[in-house]
Amino acid sequence: MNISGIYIKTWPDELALIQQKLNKISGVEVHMTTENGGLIVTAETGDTASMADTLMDMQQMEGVLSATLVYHHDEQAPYSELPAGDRQ
Amino acid sequence: MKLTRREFIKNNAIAATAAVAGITVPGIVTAAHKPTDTIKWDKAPCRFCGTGCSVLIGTQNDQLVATQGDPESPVNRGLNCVKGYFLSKIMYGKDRLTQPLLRMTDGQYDKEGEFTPVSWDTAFDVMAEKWTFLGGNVWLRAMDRMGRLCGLQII
Repeated sequence: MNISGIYIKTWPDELALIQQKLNKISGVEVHMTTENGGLIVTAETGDTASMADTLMDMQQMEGVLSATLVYHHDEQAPYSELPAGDRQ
Repeated sequence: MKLTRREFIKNNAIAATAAVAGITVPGIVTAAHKPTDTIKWDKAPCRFCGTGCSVLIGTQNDQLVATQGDPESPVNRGLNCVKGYFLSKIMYGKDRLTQPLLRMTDGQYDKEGEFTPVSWDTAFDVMAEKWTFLGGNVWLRAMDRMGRLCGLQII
């Protein structure tokens, strides 16, 4: 279980578009936005490698000025709480 | 309100991220309200460059499981850079160096030799010898500064 809190900055007039694009990425949720173009985002992935890929995708997304990882949690979740795709 | 562990961790992630953005998220249940959480938080400087960003590190069962930039640090104000992204993974990397390596040929230090595991005593002896050799040289001060920034990677 990899859960990250990511702060993303974009131009205020592109906020809605970026929010839409981010919500399409698997495991990514936009929780709040600020008037000056900030997005409070969480990302959840099965392993660290895909978390790195997700972050890279965000950073390279057109319109994103910066994507900064603020919080990162990495541990083996109890089986019952694993997303279905990660259960083996 | 029943929270799964996953939701709880996610809430922490949201709260920490929102704090960096200077806002609070209504309805978020965080560690402050959940004293039963077993993660122990400590503070440490990041070692990846000379800036010295302050990082909060969460350990559980003697294993590092979470990191976040220290919001109270005047240096990084709650942010981590790209190198600080996965600080918690670096501790457990399979290719992490755990003992000194010295370039050697036939058991002797050789700048062109292969990296060979040596004892700490040997490593410090060789380093001391090289430092003495450099004594008085104008490079010494520069090397001293680099040494502090980069640990023991000079030789």
